[in-house]
Amino acid sequence: METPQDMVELRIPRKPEYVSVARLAVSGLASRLDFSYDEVEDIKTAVGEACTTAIQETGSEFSSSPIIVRCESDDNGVRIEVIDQRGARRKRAEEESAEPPISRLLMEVLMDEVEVSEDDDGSVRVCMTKHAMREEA
Amino acid sequence: MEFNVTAKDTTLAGGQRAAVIQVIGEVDVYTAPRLKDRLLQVEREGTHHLVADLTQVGFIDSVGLGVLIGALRRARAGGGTLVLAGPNPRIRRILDITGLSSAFTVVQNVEEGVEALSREASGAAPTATQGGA
Repeated sequence: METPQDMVELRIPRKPEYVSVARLAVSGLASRLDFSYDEVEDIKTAVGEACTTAIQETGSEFSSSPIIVRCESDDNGVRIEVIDQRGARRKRAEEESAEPPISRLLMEVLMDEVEVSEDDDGSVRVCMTKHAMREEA
Repeated sequence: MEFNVTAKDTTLAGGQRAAVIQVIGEVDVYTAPRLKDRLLQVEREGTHHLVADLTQVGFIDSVGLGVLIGALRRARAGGGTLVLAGPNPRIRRILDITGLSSAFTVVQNVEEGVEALSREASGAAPTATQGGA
């Protein structure tokens, strides 16, 4: 049983080879909670997509800026933030697009809640929640 | 993380050249460029009837899907197609979510993939084996 709001934070270099590290870490965390195999895979995929989007849409001039993956878990599920400190340009590009990119579609479908916001400092914060399913007593 | 892509030539029932692209590992933003390079190499050699053998692929992300979509588009432009063989249930789910299971012919294994290519090359619709999980 998890204590309320256990938190794990991971900072990965903004490089493609580290996205699998984020997927693996989140998968390990979700496996400790009341999630099925498929739900763990959903979470892993969604986090990978958020990290990938951050890497792809940001120019090499920002390569030294890490991507932050912050996971908070409790008995109700997991809440994951993927924070891209140089992502404002990407968010605007997504908003101007007629159709959401595949990555955004996957995040929306695989997670229960997805919210993308822009902080005052220009960071883009993708906040995703997956609720743990429980059988009724 | 192991990742490997190999291409093996084969011949369809009607005599056309085809290639089976075997992919091993996870296809993501890091590894997908290697898959794309291999597909482009096969296409440059004039082969447009392709089977992507996904039986040993455990994971694919949006970048990997984009590479497959691009290859399908180019294969069709060259008079062929790209068939996906043996995706696991997770990958089938991703294909369903993104609507790509209706764009690709998806089959159980490479043998069915080559048969689907032969049917398509001869002008028959490959509907018998198309679809997601």
